[in-house]
Amino acid sequence: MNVEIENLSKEYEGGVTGLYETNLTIEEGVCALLGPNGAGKSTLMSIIATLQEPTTGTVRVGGFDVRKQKQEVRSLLGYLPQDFGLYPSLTVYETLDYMGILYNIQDPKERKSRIEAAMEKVNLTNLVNRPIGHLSGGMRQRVGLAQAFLNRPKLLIVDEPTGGLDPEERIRVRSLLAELGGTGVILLSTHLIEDVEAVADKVTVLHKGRVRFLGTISEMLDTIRDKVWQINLTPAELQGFRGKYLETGLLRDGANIRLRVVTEERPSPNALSVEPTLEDAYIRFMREGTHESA
Amino acid sequence: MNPPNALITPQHKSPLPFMAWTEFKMGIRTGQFRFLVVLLLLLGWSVGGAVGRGVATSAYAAGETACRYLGVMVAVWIALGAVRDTQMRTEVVIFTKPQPMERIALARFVGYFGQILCFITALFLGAILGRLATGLGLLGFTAYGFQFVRAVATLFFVASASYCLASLADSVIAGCIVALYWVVAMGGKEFLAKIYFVWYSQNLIAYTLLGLALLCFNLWFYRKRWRGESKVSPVIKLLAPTLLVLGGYAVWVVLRDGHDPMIRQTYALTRIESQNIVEGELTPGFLLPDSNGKPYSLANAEGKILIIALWSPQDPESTLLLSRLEEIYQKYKSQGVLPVAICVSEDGGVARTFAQGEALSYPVVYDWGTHNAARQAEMSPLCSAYRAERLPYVVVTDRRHRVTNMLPPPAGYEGTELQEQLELRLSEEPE
Repeated sequence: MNVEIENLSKEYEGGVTGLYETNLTIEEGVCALLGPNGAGKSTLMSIIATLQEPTTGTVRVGGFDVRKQKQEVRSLLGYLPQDFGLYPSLTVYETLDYMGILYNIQDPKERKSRIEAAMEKVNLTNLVNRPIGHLSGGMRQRVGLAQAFLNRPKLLIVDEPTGGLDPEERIRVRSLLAELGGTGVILLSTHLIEDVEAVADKVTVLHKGRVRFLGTISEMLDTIRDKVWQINLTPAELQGFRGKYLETGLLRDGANIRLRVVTEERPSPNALSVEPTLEDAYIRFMREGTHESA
Repeated sequence: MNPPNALITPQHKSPLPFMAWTEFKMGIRTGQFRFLVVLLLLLGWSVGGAVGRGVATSAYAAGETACRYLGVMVAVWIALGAVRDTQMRTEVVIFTKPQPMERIALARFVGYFGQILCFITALFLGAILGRLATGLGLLGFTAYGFQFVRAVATLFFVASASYCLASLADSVIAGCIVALYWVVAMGGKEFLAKIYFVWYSQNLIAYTLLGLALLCFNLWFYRKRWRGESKVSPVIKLLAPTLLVLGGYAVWVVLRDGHDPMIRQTYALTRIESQNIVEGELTPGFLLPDSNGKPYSLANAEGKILIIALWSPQDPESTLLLSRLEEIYQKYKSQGVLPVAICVSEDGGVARTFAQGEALSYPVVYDWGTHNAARQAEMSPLCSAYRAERLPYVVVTDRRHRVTNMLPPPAGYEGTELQEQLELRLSEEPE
């Protein structure tokens, strides 16, 4: 199953553009959406999740048009929004039971087994009877995640799924997403590059409503291969380098400073060529066109 | 991989009851719900402990409190429920699921109306307990049932109107317009026509139909922007206009058959109103429905000494009078004495409530021409004909129905003067 996006634009009241002439085909596997705040990630996800109408263009999920066949798209969809609420007076089990009914999982035995499996996956089994109102932010996030894949979705949209989770839980969620990646399309929006590195098959970089890059992680790294340099500098020398190159990192190393830059040419004789990271590539896409050296 | 459309699970049975039950549970577990239930129990206790031979006053007080004061509370409660998803940010989770919008909206309404039923039940339970606490028993218990049904029907309209406005506008304020209307109606008794008062029994069928129509329209247009081009259930599309037309027809029938100088007067009641009571002459006559809806006139009481009592449920003395008349009737009915109680109320269900609730065995008729007015004597055709400025007002006649005594309050309900006059009449005209 694919998600096909053609000439998708979204313009809000007041002329603010959320997305501009976007064309994408998202295939099975985990596709990470990267971009700064206001890049159009949430707009794109909410249009695919049938919550917003596009201004122009079409989105097809498994062949179903999100504008005309919302009910069909919703039956394929699992969605974990970044900012969402749950009913505080229901217990964890009751919440998932209700979500199961909303997914049209009618058979109580089937629903029960799916709920138990979902709770197991997100480590909620010891909180079955706890009211949602008594859960911490991280626990609520896990309930949100459990409800998103209760119907074994063919398209799972997760917006910042590891936000608010402790490191152990974050690893568990990443593993889960990696595991689910083989069963359909997972669209993952995150600010954490390490999440992307851990689970994504493909990366889409959005900036100001336009797609800057779409490809695999290695393709993204290839765009800056042999262009990433590390320079050891004293604080006094650093001033001479500031603003000349596209900086992707700056680390203190004792009395010296290690500066990481992206540029075609070796920036100084003592600069070392280093392996590119996703962070380097991401920053390069964000600054593309604003810095000549890149 | 299966084709995607295989994922749309076929519907074996409706999930509506489960969804409504979940909605109901969500509400009853909140602190606000429990607080309101306790408050209503206490309120019911305080209004329901009224005195009287039967439960009529208690049942009527509970019914009036539910219809009038609970109406404001229900409008706000339902409006808050209707926009809950927007307020709590649950909408992004709920409305991305494949359940049809109208089912989600209907389940929510049913769940919330279940909570309203709990509120009404708490109020009536409080009234019954309050009545029991006075040690007077539950004679005429069915009156509670009648008033309960009236409260349910009234609050159904409030709930559906508030739910409809709040959901479609996605604003609590829109739902609170119904609460505002309620306050205006309660305060505007003197200048509003009877049809504007939802809680009058004669209007309830019309308003229930209109409430159902509003609910159907709400289901039709609910979250239209998120529904996309999904088709609305044809049942809803058929029911909405049908119920609206039926509701409109029922309103027209109430207006056509009613008597309200602000809208329409009927010839028969205008004739009754044009009579004048004069001592020594025939008492003003009438043909009015009794508590069972059957027409009753003084011709039914030929040769009887009549005690004609005009009373209103708003006067606490009226209940005392009705009980006193029952005692008198039981004592003197073998001698040809017949009380006839004339209910002066804008609400067509009051006569029935009091006849049942006080277990009255003499005729209780309803002056259906009663309407809102500043002065008591202007409120009903018979009040005008009998020149009753204050209620309860009692008139005693001889066996040829000529007026012998006119007893305004308190002489009318205290009973001593009434009994003296009655015994004098019986000594002059033994059967």
